[in-house]
Amino acid sequence: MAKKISLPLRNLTGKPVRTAVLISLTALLTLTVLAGSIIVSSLRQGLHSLEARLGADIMVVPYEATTKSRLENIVLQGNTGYFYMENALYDKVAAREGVGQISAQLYLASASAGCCSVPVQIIGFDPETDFTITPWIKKSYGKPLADLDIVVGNDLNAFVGDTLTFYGVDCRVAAKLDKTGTSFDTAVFTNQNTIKALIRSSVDRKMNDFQKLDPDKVVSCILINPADGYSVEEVVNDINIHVKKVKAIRTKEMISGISESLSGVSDITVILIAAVWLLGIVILLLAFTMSVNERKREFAVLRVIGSSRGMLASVVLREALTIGVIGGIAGAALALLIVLPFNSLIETQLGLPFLLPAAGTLIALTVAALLIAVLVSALASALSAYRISRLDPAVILRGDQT
Amino acid sequence: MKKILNIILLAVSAALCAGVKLVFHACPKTDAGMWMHCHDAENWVCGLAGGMTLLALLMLLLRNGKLAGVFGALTAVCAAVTAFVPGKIVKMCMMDSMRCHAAMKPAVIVCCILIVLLAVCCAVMRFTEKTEN
Repeated sequence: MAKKISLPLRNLTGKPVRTAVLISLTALLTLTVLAGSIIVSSLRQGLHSLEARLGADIMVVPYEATTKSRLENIVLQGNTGYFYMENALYDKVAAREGVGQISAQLYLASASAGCCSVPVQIIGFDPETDFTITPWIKKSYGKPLADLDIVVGNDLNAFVGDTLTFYGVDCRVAAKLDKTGTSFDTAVFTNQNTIKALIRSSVDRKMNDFQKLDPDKVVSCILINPADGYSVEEVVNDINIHVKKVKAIRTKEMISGISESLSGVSDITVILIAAVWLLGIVILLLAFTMSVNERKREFAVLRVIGSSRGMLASVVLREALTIGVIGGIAGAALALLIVLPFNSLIETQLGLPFLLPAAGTLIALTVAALLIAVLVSALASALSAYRISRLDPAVILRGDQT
Repeated sequence: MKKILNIILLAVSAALCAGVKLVFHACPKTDAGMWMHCHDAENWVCGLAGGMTLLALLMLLLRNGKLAGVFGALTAVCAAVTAFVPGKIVKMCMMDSMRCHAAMKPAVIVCCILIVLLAVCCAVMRFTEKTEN
């Protein structure tokens, strides 16, 4: 038994260059499949998170906001910006037939506060009517937000109890949200009183484009869910036809562009993984075949001194499995070392919602990639193992084989 | 084997020293022409990585195994400290999506982990080697 275990290992250590090449190849295959799977999974998770976070079926914004493609940049890409419409328009929209849940939000972009900060998007919501932000703020902060309290997105380096100053107004960080993988990770949320105080301060300091803006008389956008018995389409059309100066948009339409980009990236990743795997499998198959061909005499001698056919096949298979396990572990470790610490960089480069899967999913993906690596190594060597078990030692040792 | 590991240690330390300035550097100057805190972190990492490169070079040149082992241990400690420079010892920028968090910090941590592992291996190998007379 000891001989059976040690012989494949001795074969591998005896040819270090060949072994290193095969291990590197298996590691590369595992790296591509695991890194690719984590990236595709994170992109899908990011899109689901974005859909969940938008929370409303319809968004109503001032008509000007839709003309310069600013809206999607602000809502989906995390760019900072603001637009306002009169409060009276909110009442008009709320009075339309088919409007169920309705809540207004106010936007403001903070000024860069000197060192180490960039402008952040501040979103003010009405806690009494809000149905989009409150449910997920509740997960991090159970109490209602007091005036001058803010909730920060996960990507902001501010922590509970810290004070952030916007336009000269000190705000206390009451909670930090869980990671969403979307533009909301860099936003700041607060109630209407606080955001109105900030807008007022920005106007007083002449740091806002709207010099004569009264924050009590404006809203930035209105979020709506249709009432029972009404479709999203009906409500959108009704608002667009009957309420002037505003545009109602289906939120699903807004993220359709992201869905398409995500689908494109996923497809390319899957094609690349498939190509690398196909190439890898062919190379592994050739490598094992060549390696066994080179060692025909060695196997013939083993056969002559009493090794069974099964034992020879087992030696080849064990070599392949050892390579699969070592290469698989190395590749998986490398993939995790690249994708996990650099996930923010990948997210920035892709410009798409990106949310790493939960630890359980990551472990499952890693185990699956390892199993695939071992299985592919075993399959690639199976043909060689079969051929070696069939060889006739007499023919090989006489040197008659072709 | 120990020489190969020592050369890899030297290469990784030098890569960290040069990379933190050239490849995975911190955030650029602001529009107002001001450097942010993360630039200090970049300088600290570059300086410490320079020191580690020097220590790794000395390890390679030294014949005294015990002294080289001590240098290896010093390199490992230095790398462990360097891993905590971005974000913990020196403050960084406000958003995790900013370059110093997204590129510099993870790259420094990965390099430092590699350096710690290599330095410990080298230190143990050199410390336990028999002295040639």
